[in-house]
Amino acid sequence: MTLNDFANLSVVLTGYPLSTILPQLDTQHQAEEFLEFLQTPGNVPAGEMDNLAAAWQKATASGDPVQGVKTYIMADVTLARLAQNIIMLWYLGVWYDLATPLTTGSFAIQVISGKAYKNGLAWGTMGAHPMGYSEENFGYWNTVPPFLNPQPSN
Amino acid sequence: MRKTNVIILGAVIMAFFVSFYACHNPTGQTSPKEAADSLKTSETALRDSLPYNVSIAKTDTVLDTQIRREFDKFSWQSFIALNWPADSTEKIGEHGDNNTVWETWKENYQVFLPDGSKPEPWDTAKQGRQKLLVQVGKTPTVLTDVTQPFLTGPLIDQNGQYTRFQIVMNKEMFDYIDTNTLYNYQGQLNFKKTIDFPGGDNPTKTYGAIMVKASWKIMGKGDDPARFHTAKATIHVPAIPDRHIKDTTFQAVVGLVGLHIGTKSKTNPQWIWSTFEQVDNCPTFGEPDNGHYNFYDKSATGRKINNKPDEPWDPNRPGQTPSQIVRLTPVFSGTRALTDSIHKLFTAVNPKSVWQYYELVGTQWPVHANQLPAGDPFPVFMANATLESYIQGTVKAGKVVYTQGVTSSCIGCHNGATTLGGRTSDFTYLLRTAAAVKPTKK
Repeated sequence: MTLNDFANLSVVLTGYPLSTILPQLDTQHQAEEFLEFLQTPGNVPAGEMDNLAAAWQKATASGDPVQGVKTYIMADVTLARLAQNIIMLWYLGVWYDLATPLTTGSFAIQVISGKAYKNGLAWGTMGAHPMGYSEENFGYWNTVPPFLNPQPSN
Repeated sequence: MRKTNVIILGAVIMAFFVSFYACHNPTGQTSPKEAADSLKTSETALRDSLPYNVSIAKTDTVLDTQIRREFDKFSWQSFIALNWPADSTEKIGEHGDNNTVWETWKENYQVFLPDGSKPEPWDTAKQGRQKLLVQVGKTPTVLTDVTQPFLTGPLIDQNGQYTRFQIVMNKEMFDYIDTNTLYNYQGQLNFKKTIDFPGGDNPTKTYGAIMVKASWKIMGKGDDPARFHTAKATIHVPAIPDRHIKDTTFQAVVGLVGLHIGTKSKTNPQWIWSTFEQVDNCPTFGEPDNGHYNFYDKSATGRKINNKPDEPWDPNRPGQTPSQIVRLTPVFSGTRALTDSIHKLFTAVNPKSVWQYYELVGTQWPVHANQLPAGDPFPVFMANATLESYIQGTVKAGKVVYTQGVTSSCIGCHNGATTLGGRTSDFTYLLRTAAAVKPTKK
Protein backbone atom coordinates (compact mmCIF):
# COMPACT_ATOMS: atom_id res chain seq x y z
CA MET A 1 0.00 0.00 0.00
CA THR A 2 1.36 3.42 -0.90
CA LEU A 3 1.59 6.26 1.58
CA ASN A 4 -0.98 8.29 -0.34
CA ASP A 5 -3.42 5.36 -0.44
CA PHE A 6 -2.94 4.76 3.28
CA ALA A 7 -3.44 8.45 4.05
CA ASN A 8 -6.60 8.72 1.95
CA LEU A 9 -8.01 5.53 3.47
CA SER A 10 -7.19 6.97 6.90
CA VAL A 11 -9.16 10.11 6.03
CA VAL A 12 -12.26 8.00 5.51
CA LEU A 13 -11.62 5.85 8.58
CA THR A 14 -10.87 8.69 11.01
CA GLY A 15 -13.08 11.43 9.61
CA TYR A 16 -10.19 13.87 9.75
CA PRO A 17 -9.11 15.70 6.58
CA LEU A 18 -5.96 14.93 4.66
CA SER A 19 -4.41 18.15 6.01
CA THR A 20 -4.45 16.51 9.45
CA ILE A 21 -3.52 12.99 8.39
CA LEU A 22 -0.76 13.94 5.96
CA PRO A 23 -0.05 17.68 6.27
CA GLN A 24 1.72 19.33 3.39
CA LEU A 25 4.35 20.57 5.84
CA ASP A 26 4.64 17.44 7.91
CA THR A 27 6.93 17.66 10.93
CA GLN A 28 5.74 14.45 12.55
CA HIS A 29 5.60 11.92 9.70
CA GLN A 30 2.96 10.07 11.66
CA ALA A 31 1.32 8.44 8.65
CA GLU A 32 4.70 7.08 7.57
CA GLU A 33 5.29 5.59 11.00
CA PHE A 34 1.90 3.91 11.04
CA LEU A 35 2.28 2.51 7.53
CA GLU A 36 5.74 1.21 8.32
CA PHE A 37 4.35 -0.47 11.43
CA LEU A 38 1.53 -2.08 9.43
CA GLN A 39 3.94 -3.33 6.81
CA THR A 40 6.42 -4.77 9.29
CA PRO A 41 6.17 -8.58 9.19
CA GLY A 42 4.49 -9.97 12.24
CA ASN A 43 2.28 -6.99 13.04
CA VAL A 44 -0.39 -7.81 10.45
CA PRO A 45 -0.96 -11.33 9.06
CA ALA A 46 0.67 -11.88 5.69
CA GLY A 47 -1.44 -10.76 2.77
CA GLU A 48 -3.93 -8.69 4.77
CA MET A 49 -2.37 -5.35 3.88
CA ASP A 50 -2.42 -6.35 0.21
CA ASN A 51 -6.09 -7.28 0.57
CA LEU A 52 -6.78 -3.95 2.26
CA ALA A 53 -5.00 -2.10 -0.53
CA ALA A 54 -7.02 -3.94 -3.16
CA ALA A 55 -10.27 -3.22 -1.33
CA TRP A 56 -9.34 0.46 -1.09
CA GLN A 57 -8.71 0.56 -4.83
CA LYS A 58 -12.22 -0.80 -5.39
CA ALA A 59 -13.64 1.73 -2.95
CA THR A 60 -12.04 4.66 -4.76
CA ALA A 61 -12.96 3.27 -8.17
CA SER A 62 -16.62 3.25 -7.08
CA GLY A 63 -16.57 7.06 -7.08
CA ASP A 64 -17.76 7.28 -3.47
CA PRO A 65 -14.87 6.30 -1.18
CA VAL A 66 -16.92 6.48 2.03
CA GLN A 67 -19.60 4.14 0.69
CA GLY A 68 -16.88 2.09 -0.95
CA VAL A 69 -15.12 1.54 2.38
CA LYS A 70 -18.43 0.38 3.89
CA THR A 71 -18.97 -2.01 0.99
CA TYR A 72 -15.52 -3.40 0.35
CA ILE A 73 -13.81 -3.12 3.73
CA MET A 74 -16.27 -2.88 6.61
CA ALA A 75 -18.45 -5.65 5.21
CA ASP A 76 -15.50 -8.03 5.27
CA VAL A 77 -14.94 -9.41 8.78
CA THR A 78 -11.16 -9.65 8.49
CA LEU A 79 -10.64 -6.31 6.76
CA ALA A 80 -13.15 -4.60 9.05
CA ARG A 81 -11.14 -5.66 12.07
CA LEU A 82 -7.94 -4.40 10.48
CA ALA A 83 -9.66 -1.10 9.65
CA GLN A 84 -10.90 -0.77 13.23
CA ASN A 85 -7.35 -1.34 14.44
CA ILE A 86 -6.12 1.40 12.11
CA ILE A 87 -8.76 3.77 13.52
CA MET A 88 -7.58 3.00 17.06
CA LEU A 89 -4.00 3.42 15.94
CA TRP A 90 -4.74 6.94 14.72
CA TYR A 91 -6.84 7.95 17.71
CA LEU A 92 -4.85 6.35 20.51
CA GLY A 93 -1.46 5.47 19.10
CA VAL A 94 -2.17 1.96 20.31
CA TRP A 95 -2.14 -1.34 18.42
CA TYR A 96 -4.59 -3.97 19.59
CA ASP A 97 -3.77 -7.62 19.12
CA LEU A 98 -5.59 -8.66 15.96
CA ALA A 99 -6.04 -12.22 17.15
CA THR A 100 -8.19 -11.16 20.09
CA PRO A 101 -11.86 -10.41 19.31
CA LEU A 102 -12.81 -6.85 20.23
CA THR A 103 -15.81 -8.17 22.16
CA THR A 104 -13.68 -9.96 24.74
CA GLY A 105 -12.80 -6.74 26.54
CA SER A 106 -9.31 -7.98 27.29
CA PHE A 107 -6.55 -7.21 24.85
CA ALA A 108 -2.84 -7.35 24.44
CA ILE A 109 -2.08 -3.79 23.43
CA GLN A 110 1.04 -1.97 22.37
CA VAL A 111 1.71 1.76 22.36
CA ILE A 112 3.75 1.80 19.22
CA SER A 113 5.81 4.87 20.12
CA GLY A 114 5.83 7.93 22.32
CA LYS A 115 5.26 10.03 19.24
CA ALA A 116 2.21 7.99 18.21
CA TYR A 117 0.76 8.32 21.71
CA LYS A 118 1.36 12.08 21.77
CA ASN A 119 -0.13 12.53 18.31
CA GLY A 120 -3.24 10.44 19.03
CA LEU A 121 -6.28 12.16 17.51
CA ALA A 122 -8.30 11.39 20.63
CA TRP A 123 -6.64 14.20 22.54
CA GLY A 124 -7.51 16.98 20.15
CA THR A 125 -10.95 15.51 19.47
CA MET A 126 -11.94 15.86 23.10
CA GLY A 127 -10.04 19.09 23.71
CA ALA A 128 -7.34 17.63 25.89
CA HIS A 129 -3.66 16.77 25.75
CA PRO A 130 -1.75 13.58 26.41
CA MET A 131 -1.15 12.83 30.05
CA GLY A 132 2.27 14.13 30.98
CA TYR A 133 2.73 16.18 27.83
CA SER A 134 1.38 19.45 26.53
CA GLU A 135 2.44 21.90 23.88
CA GLU A 136 0.16 24.60 25.23
CA ASN A 137 1.49 27.76 26.79
CA PHE A 138 2.21 27.87 30.49
CA GLY A 139 -1.06 28.29 32.37
CA TYR A 140 -3.12 26.41 29.78
CA TRP A 141 -4.97 24.59 32.56
CA ASN A 142 -6.63 27.87 33.42
CA THR A 143 -8.12 28.41 29.97
CA VAL A 144 -10.67 26.71 27.71
CA PRO A 145 -8.95 23.71 26.15
CA PRO A 146 -8.39 23.82 22.39
CA PHE A 147 -9.97 21.23 20.13
CA LEU A 148 -8.19 19.80 17.14
CA ASN A 149 -9.27 21.92 14.22
CA PRO A 150 -10.96 20.91 12.00
CA GLN A 151 -12.91 18.23 13.82
CA PRO A 152 -13.75 14.92 12.12
CA SER A 153 -16.38 15.22 9.45
CA ASN A 154 -17.98 11.80 9.37
CA MET B 1 64.82 18.98 -3.98
CA ARG B 2 62.59 22.03 -3.71
CA LYS B 3 60.08 20.44 -6.10
CA THR B 4 60.04 17.31 -3.97
CA ASN B 5 59.33 19.36 -0.88
CA VAL B 6 56.47 21.11 -2.61
CA ILE B 7 54.97 17.78 -3.62
CA ILE B 8 55.30 16.44 -0.08
CA LEU B 9 53.82 19.61 1.35
CA GLY B 10 50.94 19.37 -1.12
CA ALA B 11 50.34 15.76 -0.20
CA VAL B 12 50.36 16.63 3.50
CA ILE B 13 47.86 19.44 2.96
CA MET B 14 45.66 17.17 0.86
CA ALA B 15 45.84 14.44 3.49
CA PHE B 16 44.97 16.96 6.17
CA PHE B 17 41.83 18.07 4.37
CA VAL B 18 40.85 14.52 3.51
CA SER B 19 41.31 13.43 7.11
CA PHE B 20 39.59 16.57 8.38
CA TYR B 21 36.48 15.93 6.38
CA ALA B 22 36.64 12.24 7.13
CA CYS B 23 36.52 13.13 10.80
CA HIS B 24 34.19 16.07 10.76
CA ASN B 25 32.17 15.80 7.61
CA PRO B 26 32.10 12.12 6.91
CA THR B 27 28.45 11.79 6.05
CA GLY B 28 28.47 11.11 2.36
CA GLN B 29 24.90 12.47 2.51
CA THR B 30 25.63 15.69 0.65
CA SER B 31 24.72 15.34 -2.96
CA PRO B 32 26.58 17.39 -5.58
CA LYS B 33 23.28 19.08 -6.48
CA GLU B 34 22.70 20.20 -2.90
CA ALA B 35 26.19 21.61 -2.71
CA ALA B 36 25.77 23.39 -6.02
CA ASP B 37 22.39 24.80 -4.98
CA SER B 38 23.95 26.18 -1.84
CA LEU B 39 26.92 27.67 -3.62
CA LYS B 40 24.96 29.53 -6.25
CA THR B 41 22.73 31.22 -3.73
CA SER B 42 23.64 34.87 -3.47
CA GLU B 43 22.09 35.25 -0.01
CA THR B 44 24.97 33.36 1.51
CA ALA B 45 27.52 36.04 0.63
CA LEU B 46 29.44 37.48 3.56
CA ARG B 47 27.60 40.54 4.85
CA ASP B 48 27.72 42.45 8.09
CA SER B 49 23.98 43.10 8.18
CA LEU B 50 21.74 41.00 10.39
CA PRO B 51 18.65 39.59 8.68
CA TYR B 52 15.35 40.90 10.06
CA ASN B 53 13.38 37.77 9.33
CA VAL B 54 13.60 34.67 7.20
CA SER B 55 12.33 34.90 3.63
CA ILE B 56 10.46 31.95 2.16
CA ALA B 57 9.76 31.99 -1.56
CA LYS B 58 6.37 30.74 -2.75
CA THR B 59 8.18 28.08 -4.71
CA ASP B 60 9.67 26.71 -1.48
CA THR B 61 7.15 24.05 -0.55
CA VAL B 62 9.23 21.11 0.65
CA LEU B 63 9.81 21.26 4.38
CA ASP B 64 12.85 19.01 4.77
CA THR B 65 14.89 20.60 2.03
CA GLN B 66 13.67 23.86 0.49
CA ILE B 67 12.17 25.57 3.53
CA ARG B 68 14.83 24.24 5.88
CA ARG B 69 17.48 25.65 3.55
CA GLU B 70 15.99 29.15 3.85
CA PHE B 71 16.07 28.93 7.64
CA ASP B 72 19.63 27.60 7.53
CA LYS B 73 20.61 30.52 5.32
CA PHE B 74 19.02 32.84 7.86
CA SER B 75 21.11 31.14 10.56
CA TRP B 76 24.35 31.60 8.65
CA GLN B 77 23.50 35.20 7.79
CA SER B 78 22.92 35.80 11.48
CA PHE B 79 26.14 34.04 12.48
CA ILE B 80 28.20 36.01 9.99
CA ALA B 81 26.73 39.37 10.98
CA LEU B 82 26.99 38.64 14.70
CA ASN B 83 30.60 37.57 14.38
CA TRP B 84 31.53 40.48 12.14
CA PRO B 85 34.29 42.70 13.56
CA ALA B 86 32.56 45.07 15.95
CA ASP B 87 34.94 47.96 15.68
CA SER B 88 36.35 47.97 12.21
CA THR B 89 35.49 47.98 8.55
CA GLU B 90 37.31 44.73 7.95
CA LYS B 91 35.60 41.55 6.86
CA ILE B 92 34.93 38.67 9.18
CA GLY B 93 38.10 36.67 9.72
CA GLU B 94 40.22 38.98 7.61
CA HIS B 95 43.01 38.62 10.16
CA GLY B 96 42.10 35.09 11.11
CA ASP B 97 40.13 35.96 14.21
CA ASN B 98 38.34 39.13 15.30
CA ASN B 99 36.32 40.61 18.11
CA THR B 100 32.60 40.30 17.41
CA VAL B 101 29.39 42.28 17.44
CA TRP B 102 27.56 40.03 19.84
CA GLU B 103 30.29 40.29 22.44
CA THR B 104 29.45 43.99 22.77
CA TRP B 105 25.82 43.20 23.68
CA LYS B 106 24.38 43.23 27.18
CA GLU B 107 25.16 40.19 29.28
CA ASN B 108 22.36 38.80 31.39
CA TYR B 109 24.19 39.68 34.62
CA GLN B 110 24.42 43.29 33.39
CA VAL B 111 20.64 43.42 32.99
CA PHE B 112 19.43 41.43 35.98
CA LEU B 113 21.40 43.01 38.79
CA PRO B 114 21.76 41.41 42.23
CA ASP B 115 19.81 44.23 43.89
CA GLY B 116 17.13 44.44 41.20
CA SER B 117 18.09 47.96 40.31
CA LYS B 118 17.76 49.56 36.90
CA PRO B 119 20.58 48.45 34.55
CA GLU B 120 23.00 50.84 32.95
CA PRO B 121 21.94 52.29 29.58
CA TRP B 122 22.90 50.45 26.40
CA ASP B 123 26.55 51.20 25.60
CA THR B 124 28.35 48.73 23.36
CA ALA B 125 31.78 50.21 24.02
CA LYS B 126 31.35 49.72 27.75
CA GLN B 127 29.63 46.36 27.54
CA GLY B 128 32.28 44.75 25.35
CA ARG B 129 35.26 45.98 27.30
CA GLN B 130 35.84 42.91 29.40
CA LYS B 131 34.54 39.37 29.25
CA LEU B 132 33.49 37.98 32.60
CA LEU B 133 32.40 34.36 32.59
CA VAL B 134 30.56 33.27 35.67
CA GLN B 135 28.36 30.42 34.53
CA VAL B 136 29.37 26.78 34.52
CA GLY B 137 26.04 25.56 33.23
CA LYS B 138 23.58 26.63 30.59
CA THR B 139 21.05 27.45 33.25
CA PRO B 140 22.08 30.82 34.63
CA THR B 141 21.66 29.80 38.24
CA VAL B 142 23.57 26.55 38.03
CA LEU B 143 25.91 26.08 40.98
CA THR B 144 24.63 29.24 42.58
CA ASP B 145 21.09 28.17 43.41
CA VAL B 146 20.65 25.03 45.47
CA THR B 147 16.86 25.14 45.49
CA GLN B 148 16.41 24.60 41.78
CA PRO B 149 16.80 21.09 40.44
CA PHE B 150 18.57 21.11 37.11
CA LEU B 151 19.24 18.42 34.60
CA THR B 152 21.94 20.15 32.59
CA GLY B 153 25.16 19.22 34.32
CA PRO B 154 28.55 20.79 33.71
CA LEU B 155 30.52 19.94 30.60
CA ILE B 156 34.16 19.01 31.28
CA ASP B 157 36.74 19.18 28.49
CA GLN B 158 39.66 16.84 27.83
CA ASN B 159 41.88 18.90 30.11
CA GLY B 160 39.49 18.49 33.03
CA GLN B 161 38.25 22.08 32.79
CA TYR B 162 34.64 23.11 33.05
CA THR B 163 33.08 24.72 30.00
CA ARG B 164 31.86 28.26 30.69
CA PHE B 165 28.67 29.82 29.41
CA GLN B 166 27.55 33.29 28.55
CA ILE B 167 24.20 34.79 27.58
CA VAL B 168 23.81 38.16 25.88
CA MET B 169 20.89 40.02 24.34
CA ASN B 170 20.53 42.68 21.69
CA LYS B 171 19.32 46.24 22.19
CA GLU B 172 15.74 45.45 21.13
CA MET B 173 15.43 42.79 23.80
CA PHE B 174 17.18 44.88 26.41
CA ASP B 175 14.99 47.90 25.68
CA TYR B 176 11.82 45.85 26.13
CA ILE B 177 13.04 44.56 29.51
CA ASP B 178 14.26 47.98 30.56
CA THR B 179 11.18 49.93 29.44
CA ASN B 180 8.79 47.51 31.11
CA THR B 181 10.86 47.15 34.31
CA LEU B 182 11.13 43.41 33.81
CA TYR B 183 14.63 43.44 35.27
CA ASN B 184 13.36 42.89 38.80
CA TYR B 185 10.79 40.79 40.63
CA GLN B 186 8.45 43.65 41.47
CA GLY B 187 8.43 44.87 37.90
CA GLN B 188 7.49 41.46 36.62
CA LEU B 189 4.66 41.15 39.16
CA ASN B 190 3.30 44.54 38.15
CA PHE B 191 3.44 43.81 34.43
CA LYS B 192 -0.13 42.78 33.61
CA LYS B 193 0.10 42.42 29.84
CA THR B 194 1.33 39.38 27.96
CA ILE B 195 5.05 39.54 27.53
CA ASP B 196 5.69 40.00 23.83
CA PHE B 197 9.21 40.86 22.73
CA PRO B 198 9.51 42.68 19.40
CA GLY B 199 9.69 40.48 16.33
CA GLY B 200 11.91 41.10 13.33
CA ASP B 201 10.11 42.14 10.19
CA ASN B 202 11.35 42.43 6.61
CA PRO B 203 8.82 44.94 5.19
CA THR B 204 9.42 47.49 7.94
CA LYS B 205 13.11 46.58 8.30
CA THR B 206 12.88 46.24 12.04
CA TYR B 207 14.92 43.94 14.21
CA GLY B 208 13.42 41.61 16.72
CA ALA B 209 14.71 40.45 20.06
CA ILE B 210 17.83 38.31 19.80
CA MET B 211 19.45 36.18 22.49
CA VAL B 212 22.88 34.63 22.09
CA LYS B 213 24.12 31.83 24.30
CA ALA B 214 27.78 30.96 23.99
CA SER B 215 29.85 28.15 25.39
CA TRP B 216 33.58 28.55 25.89
CA LYS B 217 36.38 26.17 26.76
CA ILE B 218 39.55 27.19 28.51
CA MET B 219 42.31 26.81 25.96
CA GLY B 220 44.92 24.31 27.02
CA LYS B 221 46.85 21.21 26.10
CA GLY B 222 45.87 19.78 22.73
CA ASP B 223 43.88 22.83 21.66
CA ASP B 224 44.94 24.65 18.50
CA PRO B 225 44.07 28.35 18.94
CA ALA B 226 44.10 28.78 15.15
CA ARG B 227 40.88 26.74 15.03
CA PHE B 228 38.95 28.78 17.60
CA HIS B 229 37.54 32.23 18.06
CA THR B 230 39.34 33.11 21.26
CA ALA B 231 39.05 35.79 23.89
CA LYS B 232 40.76 36.76 27.11
CA ALA B 233 38.30 36.28 29.92
CA THR B 234 38.02 36.75 33.61
CA ILE B 235 36.51 33.59 35.01
CA HIS B 236 34.68 33.82 38.27
CA VAL B 237 33.33 30.94 40.32
CA PRO B 238 31.01 32.33 42.96
CA ALA B 239 31.29 30.77 46.40
CA ILE B 240 28.66 28.28 47.54
CA PRO B 241 29.60 27.56 51.16
CA ASP B 242 27.22 24.65 51.72
CA ARG B 243 28.73 22.90 48.71
CA HIS B 244 32.24 23.83 49.82
CA ILE B 245 32.79 25.75 46.59
CA LYS B 246 35.21 28.61 47.07
CA ASP B 247 35.04 31.99 45.44
CA THR B 248 37.64 31.90 42.71
CA THR B 249 38.68 34.34 40.02
CA PHE B 250 41.31 33.87 37.36
CA GLN B 251 42.27 35.00 33.88
CA ALA B 252 42.29 32.65 30.92
CA VAL B 253 42.17 32.50 27.16
CA VAL B 254 38.93 30.83 26.16
CA GLY B 255 37.84 29.37 22.85
CA LEU B 256 34.30 29.48 21.52
CA VAL B 257 32.85 25.97 21.22
CA GLY B 258 29.11 26.60 20.90
CA LEU B 259 26.76 29.38 19.90
CA HIS B 260 22.99 29.49 20.10
CA ILE B 261 21.19 32.36 18.38
CA GLY B 262 17.52 32.85 19.26
CA THR B 263 15.74 35.38 17.06
CA LYS B 264 12.13 36.46 17.43
CA SER B 265 10.41 37.44 14.21
CA LYS B 266 6.91 38.54 13.24
CA THR B 267 6.22 35.34 11.37
CA ASN B 268 8.03 33.13 13.86
CA PRO B 269 6.71 34.24 17.26
CA GLN B 270 8.08 31.05 18.82
CA TRP B 271 11.48 32.38 17.71
CA ILE B 272 14.00 30.97 15.24
CA TRP B 273 16.66 28.89 16.96
CA SER B 274 20.04 28.59 15.23
CA THR B 275 22.81 26.57 16.78
CA PHE B 276 26.49 26.38 15.85
CA GLU B 277 29.49 24.46 17.11
CA GLN B 278 33.22 24.36 16.77
CA VAL B 279 33.96 21.41 14.48
CA ASP B 280 36.28 19.60 16.91
CA ASN B 281 33.72 19.21 19.68
CA CYS B 282 32.78 15.55 19.33
CA PRO B 283 32.18 12.75 16.85
CA THR B 284 28.76 11.85 15.53
CA PHE B 285 27.09 8.62 16.58
CA GLY B 286 27.76 5.87 14.07
CA GLU B 287 30.47 7.79 12.25
CA PRO B 288 34.29 7.63 12.50
CA ASP B 289 35.69 9.00 15.75
CA ASN B 290 39.32 9.53 14.84
CA GLY B 291 41.05 12.75 15.69
CA HIS B 292 41.30 15.10 18.61
CA TYR B 293 38.05 16.29 20.11
CA ASN B 294 37.28 18.86 22.74
CA PHE B 295 34.81 16.65 24.59
CA TYR B 296 35.55 13.07 23.50
CA ASP B 297 38.44 10.68 23.92
CA LYS B 298 38.39 7.57 21.78
CA SER B 299 40.81 5.79 24.09
CA ALA B 300 38.55 6.30 27.12
CA THR B 301 36.43 3.25 26.38
CA GLY B 302 35.19 2.92 29.95
CA ARG B 303 33.37 6.24 29.97
CA LYS B 304 29.65 6.34 29.28
CA ILE B 305 28.73 8.69 26.49
CA ASN B 306 26.65 11.79 27.22
CA ASN B 307 26.66 11.01 30.92
CA LYS B 308 26.57 13.83 33.46
CA PRO B 309 29.72 14.11 35.62
CA ASP B 310 29.51 12.62 39.07
CA GLU B 311 28.58 15.03 41.82
CA PRO B 312 29.64 17.02 43.71
CA TRP B 313 30.19 19.45 40.87
CA ASP B 314 32.96 21.87 41.67
CA PRO B 315 34.75 23.79 38.92
CA ASN B 316 37.68 24.38 41.26
CA ARG B 317 38.35 20.67 41.83
CA PRO B 318 41.35 19.48 39.77
CA GLY B 319 41.55 16.15 37.97
CA GLN B 320 37.90 15.69 37.17
CA THR B 321 36.93 13.09 34.61
CA PRO B 322 36.26 14.67 31.21
CA SER B 323 32.85 14.40 29.62
CA GLN B 324 32.50 11.86 26.82
CA ILE B 325 30.20 13.53 24.35
CA VAL B 326 28.86 12.14 21.08
CA ARG B 327 26.45 13.93 18.76
CA LEU B 328 23.46 11.66 18.50
CA THR B 329 21.69 13.33 15.58
CA PRO B 330 23.78 13.81 12.45
CA VAL B 331 23.73 17.25 10.91
CA PHE B 332 21.33 17.26 7.95
CA SER B 333 23.12 16.78 4.63
CA GLY B 334 21.72 19.99 3.11
CA THR B 335 22.85 21.93 6.17
CA ARG B 336 26.35 20.51 5.79
CA ALA B 337 26.38 21.47 2.12
CA LEU B 338 25.46 25.03 2.99
CA THR B 339 28.14 25.09 5.69
CA ASP B 340 30.72 23.88 3.18
CA SER B 341 29.84 26.73 0.86
CA ILE B 342 30.09 29.28 3.67
CA HIS B 343 33.47 27.90 4.70
CA LYS B 344 34.71 28.56 1.17
CA LEU B 345 33.66 32.18 1.56
CA PHE B 346 35.55 32.42 4.84
CA THR B 347 38.73 30.95 3.41
CA ALA B 348 38.49 33.20 0.36
CA VAL B 349 38.81 36.15 2.74
CA ASN B 350 41.64 34.51 4.65
CA PRO B 351 42.73 30.85 4.45
CA LYS B 352 43.45 31.07 8.18
CA SER B 353 40.02 32.36 9.15
CA VAL B 354 38.99 30.77 12.42
CA TRP B 355 35.36 30.94 11.30
CA GLN B 356 35.88 28.04 8.89
CA TYR B 357 35.99 25.84 11.98
CA TYR B 358 32.40 26.53 12.98
CA GLU B 359 29.49 24.56 11.63
CA LEU B 360 25.75 25.01 11.67
CA VAL B 361 24.23 22.12 13.59
CA GLY B 362 20.70 23.11 12.70
CA THR B 363 17.88 25.61 12.75
CA GLN B 364 14.58 24.99 14.51
CA TRP B 365 11.51 27.06 13.71
CA PRO B 366 7.74 26.88 14.16
CA VAL B 367 6.21 25.37 11.01
CA HIS B 368 2.63 26.16 11.99
CA ALA B 369 3.30 29.24 14.05
CA ASN B 370 -0.26 30.50 14.19
CA GLN B 371 -2.07 27.19 14.57
CA LEU B 372 -0.45 25.80 17.69
CA PRO B 373 1.01 27.45 20.81
CA ALA B 374 4.36 25.73 20.35
CA GLY B 375 4.09 26.24 16.60
CA ASP B 376 4.83 22.64 15.59
CA PRO B 377 8.63 22.99 15.68
CA PHE B 378 10.88 21.46 13.06
CA PRO B 379 13.12 19.62 13.33
CA VAL B 380 11.26 18.16 16.27
CA PHE B 381 14.47 17.64 18.23
CA MET B 382 17.67 19.65 18.06
CA ALA B 383 20.66 19.78 20.36
CA ASN B 384 23.98 21.55 20.61
CA ALA B 385 26.56 19.10 21.95
CA THR B 386 28.01 21.77 24.25
CA LEU B 387 24.75 23.26 25.48
CA GLU B 388 22.42 20.27 25.60
CA SER B 389 25.07 17.59 25.95
CA TYR B 390 23.08 15.25 28.15
CA ILE B 391 19.59 15.56 26.67
CA GLN B 392 20.27 14.70 23.04
CA GLY B 393 18.37 11.43 23.29
CA THR B 394 19.44 7.97 24.38
CA VAL B 395 20.98 4.99 22.65
CA LYS B 396 19.08 1.73 22.99
CA ALA B 397 20.04 -1.42 21.13
CA GLY B 398 22.33 0.59 18.88
CA LYS B 399 19.63 3.06 17.89
CA VAL B 400 19.04 6.64 18.97
CA VAL B 401 15.75 7.04 20.80
CA TYR B 402 14.09 10.42 21.25
CA THR B 403 11.50 11.16 23.92
CA GLN B 404 8.93 13.91 23.59
CA GLY B 405 9.25 16.39 26.41
CA VAL B 406 12.64 15.03 27.44
CA THR B 407 14.94 15.12 24.42
CA SER B 408 16.27 18.58 23.59
CA SER B 409 13.99 20.87 21.62
CA CYS B 410 14.60 24.62 21.81
CA ILE B 411 10.97 25.60 21.29
CA GLY B 412 9.61 22.67 23.26
CA CYS B 413 11.64 23.69 26.30
CA HIS B 414 11.37 27.46 26.03
CA ASN B 415 7.61 27.26 25.54
CA GLY B 416 7.43 26.60 29.27
CA ALA B 417 9.40 29.69 30.28
CA THR B 418 7.72 32.02 32.76
CA THR B 419 8.31 35.20 34.67
CA LEU B 420 8.83 35.23 38.42
CA GLY B 421 5.15 36.08 38.56
CA GLY B 422 4.19 32.78 36.92
CA ARG B 423 3.18 34.25 33.57
CA THR B 424 4.42 33.01 30.25
CA SER B 425 7.58 34.95 29.36
CA ASP B 426 7.77 34.66 25.57
CA PHE B 427 10.27 31.83 25.26
CA THR B 428 12.99 33.17 27.52
CA TYR B 429 14.04 31.93 30.93
CA LEU B 430 16.22 34.97 31.49
CA LEU B 431 13.49 36.87 33.32
CA ARG B 432 13.60 34.28 36.06
CA THR B 433 17.12 35.41 36.96
CA ALA B 434 15.82 38.79 38.14
CA ALA B 435 16.21 39.70 41.78
CA ALA B 436 13.79 41.54 44.04
CA VAL B 437 14.35 45.10 45.09
CA LYS B 438 14.72 45.15 48.85
CA PRO B 439 12.55 47.66 50.66
CA THR B 440 14.46 50.68 51.89
CA LYS B 441 14.69 51.22 55.64
CA LYS B 442 12.79 54.18 56.99
